[in-house]
Parts: sequence; C-alpha cells; structure tokens
Amino acid sequence: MGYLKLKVNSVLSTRDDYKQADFNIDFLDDTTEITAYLKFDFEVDAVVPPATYTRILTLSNTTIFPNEIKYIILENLDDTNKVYVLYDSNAGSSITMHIGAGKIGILTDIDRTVDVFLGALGGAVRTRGYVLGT
Amino acid sequence: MTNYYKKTIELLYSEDKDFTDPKVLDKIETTGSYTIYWHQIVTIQTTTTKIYENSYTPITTLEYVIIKNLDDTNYISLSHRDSAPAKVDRVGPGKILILTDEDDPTNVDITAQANSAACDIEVLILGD
Repeated sequence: MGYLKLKVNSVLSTRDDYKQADFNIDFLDDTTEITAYLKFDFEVDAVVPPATYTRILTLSNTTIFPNEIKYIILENLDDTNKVYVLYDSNAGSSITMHIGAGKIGILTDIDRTVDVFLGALGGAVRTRGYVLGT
Repeated sequence: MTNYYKKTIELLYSEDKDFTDPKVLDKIETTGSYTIYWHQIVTIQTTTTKIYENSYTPITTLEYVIIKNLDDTNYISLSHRDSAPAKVDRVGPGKILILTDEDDPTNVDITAQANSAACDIEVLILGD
C-alpha cells in the first residue's frame, strides 16, 4: 500500500510571463491510498460518432485494480484537436468529458463496472496520463 | 481584459503516509488565457444544488472547472450537461475533479447532490 499526493496549482496573472501572480490557488489531495498506478502514452484515433473509440481501460476485467479506481488523469498533447472521454460503451451518448487541445482533465471514483474509451475530434491526438487505484 | 493562467499538476507517490521520501511521478504544466474567474466554497445539499448556472454568468467558453470535495465522508454526484442526457461523475471525499471544454457553456448547468449529508466543495472556474 502507498499514498498519493495530488496537487493542482493555478497561478492567475495579468501578465503572460506570470512574473506577478494575482492569485495562487492550490487544490490538494494527500489522503488517497493506492496500490498500483498505470502510465499510458499513445495516439487516440480520430472518430466520427458513433464509431469505434480507443479503449484505454477494461475495468471489468482488469487485475491491476481489483478494488477501486481512484483517479484517471489525462493530458491532451495536441495543439488543435479535442479528446472525448467515454464510459461504458462505444456509443457517443456516454461521453462524460471533453479535454481541449493542450488541456488536462481529471476523473475520480470511476465505476468499476464500466470501461473507459477515448476518441479524438478532427484528427488523431497523442494523449498521455495515469490510472491510479487499488 | 485578457488574463493568463498557469496550471501545474503534481503527482507524488509515497510508501509512508507522511511523505518523508516521496517519488515524483509527474509534474504537468499547461498555460492559457481567461477573462472571467470564479473561486468559491459551495455547500452541496442532498437535493440537487446548482454550482454553475449559465443564465447568471456571462461565460461563453469554459476553460477549466476544478472541484474539490472538502468533506471527509460523503461523495457528491456531479452533473454537467451540454446535451441530453446529463453527464454524471462522482467526486469522493477529499477528491479533486477537473473538467475542461464543455461543448456549449451557454447551455450548461453544473449541479451536484451529496449522497447522505450536506457537504462543502471548493470550486474554481476559468472562462471567457
């Protein structure tokens, strides 16, 4: 068993060099226990819903995380295209989150009975991130 | 007026609870701009509670929505919608969730419901 410290820091500034921070806001979770983490880095295929999305995790079958998925952290490394995150099936209606170009999304407490898929809008997108759980 | 944000997400792993010898898993940084920012503690009831209602905000583009559940015990069910059906994500006690890029923020309400007792959440919204 180990512990995760997740810190999300936001520096807000009127200057684009961030030399003067008007606000500095921290969100911190340092209480989450994990037993395993999985790092991924791959290209997500472009799709036109409904179509076949890229499955990143088959939660119902995984032996890596038999108990709980604490966090999924996803970074969209593309400059232009958006990434969809879908639960459960490859149907477009189950989209739960969009991650914009260059942005980061965090999902938490994922239902152990669903699978997680990704799809890119407009062109293939390189995505990287982590799955952390027990 | 355009303002700028720099967001850093730091992931540390430790075998001991006090993080005396942590291993840095990753440090991810992203930057962008915004014109509107909103930071508040909101009490979520066991009935549907509105966190963000576009009818009273001028935001047309949501850059980021960051939510931390400040409660030690209860989870919240977070609903965010840019088309039917509503999308629901759970945020457990002490956990953090980050949403970006809702399709049409002019048509999005973000609501939440606590599972067994009212609890506070911290919300930061950046948009244009």
